[in-house]
Amino acid sequence: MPEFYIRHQQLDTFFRTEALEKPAEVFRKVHTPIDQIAVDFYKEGPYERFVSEDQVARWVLNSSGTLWGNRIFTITGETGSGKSELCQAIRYQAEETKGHVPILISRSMTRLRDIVSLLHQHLDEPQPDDIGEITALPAETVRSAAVTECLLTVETKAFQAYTPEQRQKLRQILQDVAFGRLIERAFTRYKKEVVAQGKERVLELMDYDEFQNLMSGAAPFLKAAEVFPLFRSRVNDGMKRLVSLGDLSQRLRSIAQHYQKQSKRPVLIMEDLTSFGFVKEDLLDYLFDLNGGNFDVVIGWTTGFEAEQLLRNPNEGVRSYMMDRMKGRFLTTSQDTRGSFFLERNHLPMVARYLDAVREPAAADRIPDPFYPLNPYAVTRIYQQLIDDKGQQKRTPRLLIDVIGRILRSNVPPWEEIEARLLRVNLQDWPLPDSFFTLKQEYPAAVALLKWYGRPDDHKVDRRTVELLGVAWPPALAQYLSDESIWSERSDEPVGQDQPTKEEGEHGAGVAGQVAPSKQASGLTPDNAGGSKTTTGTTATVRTEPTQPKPQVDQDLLELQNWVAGSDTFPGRQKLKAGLTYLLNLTEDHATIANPRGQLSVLKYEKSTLPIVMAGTNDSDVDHPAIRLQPTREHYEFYRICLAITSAREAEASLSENLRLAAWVGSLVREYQQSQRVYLSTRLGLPIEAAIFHAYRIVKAMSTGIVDPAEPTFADTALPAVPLLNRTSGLKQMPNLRDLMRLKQTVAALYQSFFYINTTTADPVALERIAAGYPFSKAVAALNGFNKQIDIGFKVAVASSDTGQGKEKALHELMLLLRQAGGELLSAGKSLAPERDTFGPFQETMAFADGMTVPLLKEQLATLRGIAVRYKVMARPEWQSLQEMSPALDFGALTKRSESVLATIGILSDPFRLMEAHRAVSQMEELEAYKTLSLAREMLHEVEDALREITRRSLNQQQKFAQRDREDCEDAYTTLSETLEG
Amino acid sequence: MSFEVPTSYLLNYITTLGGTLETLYNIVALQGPLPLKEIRIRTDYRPGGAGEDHVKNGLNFLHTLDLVSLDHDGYSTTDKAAEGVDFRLKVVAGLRKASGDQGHFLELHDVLVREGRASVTDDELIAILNRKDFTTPGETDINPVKTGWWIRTCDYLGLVQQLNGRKRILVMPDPNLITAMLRELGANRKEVSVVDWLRHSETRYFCQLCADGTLHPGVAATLAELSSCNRLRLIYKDDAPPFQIAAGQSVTHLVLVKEESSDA
Repeated sequence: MPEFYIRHQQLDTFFRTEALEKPAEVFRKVHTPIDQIAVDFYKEGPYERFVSEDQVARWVLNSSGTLWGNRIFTITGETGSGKSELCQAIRYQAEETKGHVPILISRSMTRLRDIVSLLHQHLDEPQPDDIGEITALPAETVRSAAVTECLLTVETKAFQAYTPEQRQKLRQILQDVAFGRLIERAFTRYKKEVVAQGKERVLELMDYDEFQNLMSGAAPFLKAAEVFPLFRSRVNDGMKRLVSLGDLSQRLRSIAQHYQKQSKRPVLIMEDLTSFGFVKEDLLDYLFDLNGGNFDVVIGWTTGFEAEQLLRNPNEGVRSYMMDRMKGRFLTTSQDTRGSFFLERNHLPMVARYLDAVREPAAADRIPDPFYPLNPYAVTRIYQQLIDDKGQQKRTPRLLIDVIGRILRSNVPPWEEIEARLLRVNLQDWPLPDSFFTLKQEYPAAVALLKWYGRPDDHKVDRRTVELLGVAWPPALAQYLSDESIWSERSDEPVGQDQPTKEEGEHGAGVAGQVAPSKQASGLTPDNAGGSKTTTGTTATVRTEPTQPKPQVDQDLLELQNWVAGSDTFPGRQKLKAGLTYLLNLTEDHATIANPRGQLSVLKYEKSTLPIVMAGTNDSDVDHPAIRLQPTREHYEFYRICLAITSAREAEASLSENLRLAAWVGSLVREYQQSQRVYLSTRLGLPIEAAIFHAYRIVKAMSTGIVDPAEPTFADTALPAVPLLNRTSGLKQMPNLRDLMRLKQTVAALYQSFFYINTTTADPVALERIAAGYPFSKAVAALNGFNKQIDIGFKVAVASSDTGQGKEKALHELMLLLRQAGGELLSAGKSLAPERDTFGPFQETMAFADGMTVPLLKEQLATLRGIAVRYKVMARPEWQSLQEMSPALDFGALTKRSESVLATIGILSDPFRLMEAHRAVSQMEELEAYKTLSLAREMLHEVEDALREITRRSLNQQQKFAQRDREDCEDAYTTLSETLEG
Repeated sequence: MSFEVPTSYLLNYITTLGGTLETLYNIVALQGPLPLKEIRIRTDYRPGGAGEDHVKNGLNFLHTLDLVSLDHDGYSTTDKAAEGVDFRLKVVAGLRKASGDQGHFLELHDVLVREGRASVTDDELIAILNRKDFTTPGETDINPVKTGWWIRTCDYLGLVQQLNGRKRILVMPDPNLITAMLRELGANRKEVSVVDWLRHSETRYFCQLCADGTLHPGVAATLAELSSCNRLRLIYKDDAPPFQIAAGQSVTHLVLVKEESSDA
C-alpha cells in the first residue's frame, strides 16, 4: 500500500488483532470514551437508559470505607464490544481516586498462576511458586483425580437420600470407562478453549449435558440437575489441589482485610470471568456472598456466557439471586442486533483516533480530513458491513478496528481492498447510478473509490482527497469530483482531539444517518432508546426495576440472600413465613385431611401458625410434617416474593400474575399433605382412614349393634342417644370405651369426612377398600405401637354436644382413646361368657315360647289367674292386656327367628357379635308375640314367687294353716311347675 | 324410566359435585349394571333429605357425557377398555366430545387458554359467557351460581385452580392431570414429543396452547414445576419444534421420571 502518511511500524501497536490489554499510553491515545453504555439496571440511584463510561466508573467507585460489603456490577456484551476498554477505563479512574485500589484481571491472563501472582502483589506475603497449570497435566491424571472426587462426593450427606443399592450403582457408573471418557473430553475442550482468543470460552471440567445423558440412561433415579453442581464443585476442588492453587476466596479475603486496614476498597475488575477457568464458580460464590469482603467488583462476561450462566439458567432462583445481588448491570451491545451501542454513534471519532495514532505527525496539516486515507462515508460503510466469521452481522469496535487495520496493512489502495473484501453491499440500501456498472469495467479503481468514498446524494468525492490519495482520475468521471470539501464540517468539528465532546458524537451519527437512511430499521438506535425504554431480548423477563425499596425490606432481602448463600441466621424469616402463609391459605385443603373426593373436612390443622421450617436456620427441625424450605437458589425468587407479601390481597395478586409461583405453592401443599398422611400412617401403624373407620365402627356397634359395614344402614351417622352398650354387663364398665362413646358425634363427623362426598352421598368404594384391608384385631394391634406422638395440631373441628362449649378434640387424644378402647374390646372378647347372663330373660322367654300356641297360653294363663286370685297375689295392671291377646300371634315364627340369636349367644365370639345379639334381641323385644310371652313369663314368675313365699310361711306357721289349704297350695305349685317346665 | 340421554344443559347441574360423579362412576364401574334404586342404597341416599336428588342428577350428568349408559338392567359404564384412565380425564374427554349446545362447558375453558389468560374472576367469566361469539345455550340464564359451579367443577377436574375465599381462579392445570395424560401416551417408558402430547390433549381433552401457538403460561408453569420436583424430565432436541416454558428454556420432549411412572 502507498504510504498515505501512515507509520506502518505503529500499526501493530494500535491496530492489534487480538484482545489484549493495551499499555496505558496506547490506551490513552486511542481510547474513545464510551458514551453509550446501556443500563439494564442500577440500584443505588436514578439512571438513564444510556450512560457514559465515566458514569459507570463513578457508580462503581461510589463507595468508601469498609461497611459496604461486596458491590457487584456486570458488563455484558459481545466479544470485542469494548468490555475490556470499559474495564480499563474504570481501572484508570480507580487509580486516580484515593480510597480505591484497582486489581485488573485482563482477559489475556489465561493461566491461573498469573492471576494468583497478580493477587499476591496486593498482599505482603510471598507468592507460592509451586502452582501448577492444569492444562499442563496429563489427561490421565485429571481423569483419575476427577473420578476419585466424584466417588467421594457420593459418600457425602447429600447422597444419603439414595438407597445403598442406588449409591452402589452410582459408584459403578463413576468408575466406568464411559464416565472417564466424559471427563477426558471435557478436559481436552478445556485446554483448547483456555487459549482461544476473540471468541467465547467454555471452560468446564464436566459437561452437564453429557453428564445428564449418561446418568439418565445408567442411573435414572439420580436427580442429575441437583447433584451435578455437587460433583462439579468437588471436582474443581480436586483440581485446585492438583495444581496447588489453594483457596482463591481466602486470598481475596486476605486482600480485602489488607486494604481494610488502610481504609481502602479494592476494586476487582475482571475483563472476562472465564479467565478463571474451573474456579469461576468458586469466585462467583465468594463475590456474590455480599458479606464476603469489601470489594467493588466489575465482572465482564460475554452475552453468550451470561446467558448460559444466568439468563438461560433453568433455575429461576439462581438467576434472580444473582440479579438481586448485582448493584448494576450494563450492556455494551444490543441483544437484538449484537451491535455496539457505542459504535453506532461513535464509529467515526473512534476510527479517527486510531488513524491519528498511526499518522505521520508532520502530515496533520496536509490531509483533508481525519479519516485519510479513508473518508467518513467509507468508514460508515465499512461499519455497516461488519460481519463475524460466521457471516452474521456484528458491529463491534474490535471488528471495525480489525478491518481498518487490514485495509491499512494491505498492499493495494484502501478502496480496492474494501471492494475486494467487503462485497456484501446491499444495493437496495445503497443505490448506485446505473452508469457505475458499465464504467466499472473500464475504470474499476476509480469506480470503487466513488462507490465507497462518494457522498450519498451525488456520489461525488473531494478533488483534493483524490489528489492526496494519488489517484489518476479518468476524465470520463470528472463530473464526480467536487471542488468543495464534502467534509466541510471538519473545521468546526475537532474530530480526533484528546477530549471529544458529546456534540461530536452526535455529529458522527448524523453522517451515518445520511449515508444509510435505512439504519433506523436496524433495531435499537440511541435516538429512540433515549426516550423510551426498549426491552432487549431475554433481559426483559428478568429485569429488576430500579425501585427504591424501604430500608427494612432491603435488610430482609439481604438476610434472605445470605441464607440462600449458606448463612445460618435469618432473623427476618418470620416475614417470609407470613407471606408464604398468605399464599398457602389461598390454596384449599392444605391444613385438612379428608376424603380427597369429598367436601366434608373436619380434621383441621388448628394451630395459630403453619409449621414452616426453614432449613439451616435455628428453626427447630421437628420430625413432624412441616412445610420445609431449603436455602436453594432455585427457589430464591419465590422466597423473595413471599418476603414482600403482607396481605391476602397481595398474595392473590402475586399468584394471579405468576403462575410459576402458584405451581410452586401447589407443590408445597401437595408435599405437605402427603407428608401428613404418611406421618400419621407411620405413627398410627395404619392409615388414618382405617383408624377413623374403626373408631366409628366401635361407636356404631356399641350404639346400635350394626357391625357389618356393607350393610347400607351402617353409614347412617345418626346414632341413638341411649346406646345398646348399657345392656351389657361388662362392656359398659370399660372406662375408655365409655369415653369413646361420649365422643360419638365427633367420631361420626370424622367418619363422614372420610367416607362421604357430602352429607347426602356416601362413598362406598372408599369404605370397602378400608374395611377389607384392616380387620379390627389387626387395626388394634397396629394402634398398640403408638403413643401420643401425633400431636401435630390436628383437631376435629366439629360443633357437637360431645365435647360441649365448642371444645374440640385433638386428633391425638381421640386416637389414644381409640387405641385403649380397642384394647378393652379385644380383651373383653376373650371372656365374654359372663355376658351371656345378660341374655337370661331373653333365653327364658324363648324357652317359654317353644311349642307355645295362643290357645295353650290362654289356658295356662287362666289357671295362673285362678291361683293368683285364690292366694291373693296382687294382679298388675299390665296383666290385663294378656286377656286381650290377639289370636294371630305366631310363637312358632318367633322361635324360629330366635334360633340364630340364641346360637350367637351360645358362642359370643367377640364384643361386636355381642352387640349384634343385643341388637337382634332388642328388635325382637319390639314384637307383639315376644311382648305377650315376656309378660306372661313375668306374671308366672310373680305368682310363683308369691306361692313360694306362702309355702315357706305355711311351713313355718304350720299350726295356723288348715290342712286343706296346704294341699291346695301344693296342687297349685305343682300345676305351676308343670306349666313352666312345659 | 326413560333411557334417553338427558337434555338438561351441563351448566345447569349446579348442585352436582365432582366427587359425587366419581363415586357414582366407581360404583357403577365396579358393580354395574345397577338400577337407580340400588345405587341410591349404596350411596346412602335418603329421600326427603336435602331435596336434591344428587344420585339421579349425577348419573344424568355422566349419561349426558356418555360415560354411563342406561337400559333395563340399570346403569353400566360405557368404556370398559379405558380402565385405569384417570376418572377426571374421562370426564374431560366426555366434555370435549359433547357436541352442539353441550359443548359450552369446555368451550369456556378453551377461551381462557386461547386468550392466554393466567387468571380470571367470576365476573370476567360471566362476561365471556355473555359474549356474542360464545355459544351459550339460549335458554340458560348466566348467573354467578352457575359460574361458581363451573369453577368448582373445573377445579375438581384439575383444569383450573380456585383461590380459597377469593373470586379468582388461576388457569393452570393440576400436575397430576398432566402426568396422567403423559402416562397414557407412554411417557413413563419413553420420551414423548411435546407436539404429540399437545395434539393428544387438544383433540381429546383440553386446550393447552394460546392462540399464537405458544404454551399457555399455566401449562408452562406446571411443566416447569414438575421438572423442578423431579417428576418430569424436560428434553430439548434440535430437530423437533420447541415450546418455551420459561425465559430461555424450551422443551421438545417429555419423559416421566421413574417414581412417577409407577404410582398409577
